[in-house]
Amino acid sequence: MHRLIGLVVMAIGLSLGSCEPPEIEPRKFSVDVFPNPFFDLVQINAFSLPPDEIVSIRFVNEEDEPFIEIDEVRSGDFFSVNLSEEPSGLYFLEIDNGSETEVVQVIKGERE
Amino acid sequence: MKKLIIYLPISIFGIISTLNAQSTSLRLNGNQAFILGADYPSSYPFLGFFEGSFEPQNGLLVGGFGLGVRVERPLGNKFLEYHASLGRSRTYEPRIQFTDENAQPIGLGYGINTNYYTGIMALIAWPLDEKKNLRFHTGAGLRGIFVSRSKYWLPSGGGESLTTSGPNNSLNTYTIILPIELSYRLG
Repeated sequence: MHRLIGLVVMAIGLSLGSCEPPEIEPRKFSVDVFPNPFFDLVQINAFSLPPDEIVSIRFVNEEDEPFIEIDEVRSGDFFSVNLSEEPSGLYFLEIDNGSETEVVQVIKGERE
Repeated sequence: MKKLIIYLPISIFGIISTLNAQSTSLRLNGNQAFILGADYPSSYPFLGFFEGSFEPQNGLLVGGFGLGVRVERPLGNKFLEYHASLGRSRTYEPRIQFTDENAQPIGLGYGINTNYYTGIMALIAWPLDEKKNLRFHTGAGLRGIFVSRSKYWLPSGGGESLTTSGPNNSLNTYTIILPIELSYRLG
């Protein structure tokens, strides 16, 4: 019986990243998504969108699959989206005006 | 939103048996995971302590760790190795703006993704010194994530944190791994 102790460093070429959580980027579009986190209903409020701005909104799950799309969202529009049948987790709300896209992350929480 | 994650494990191991030139070792590792190809390159420390941490309840940050068994046998002047392991890895999620029922921002939430995985690897080891203590290993393997969850929380000064969690489906369940490893055996 040998009792040998070793040390292994499994190194794959990479550059070390920061060990701090990344910061959030400033919003591009004045579309409110709330509450965040949500449980069943998530509200989308476009009251502050400029009058000449028309955007489309779509929900994308973590597997990159869009599952809800709302076209021609204008200033003053308000939507309540029921995601009670969707699994909890992270969702991406893509807001697109044809030339720019913003991605807002929303969390569907898990009831304990 | 698929992410590519590179793991950098640092292991210690002890030989637990030798039989007919074949030896078996038990390996403990602490690992650091790095996200590639994402807009938020950031990683969770495998061990750290920050006073006033955002981590609920305490400031101790414990990232990835694992336990594996490796069997090796001579193959000419090299070694053929088989490795099986169980482990955990952690990465930060992008920070998220928490909002209340009235669309008012209530703070920036933190998130961590925790993955539990099992893996198998076959490796060839080349001795780099006469006593064969220093070795270079490479090979191929497969890793399967059997639990992946993300937890988000909003710290509140002295009060109870708002916390939520759920499964994370953004990672491939099975991934091919290409280990590149240096090891040194003491004693």
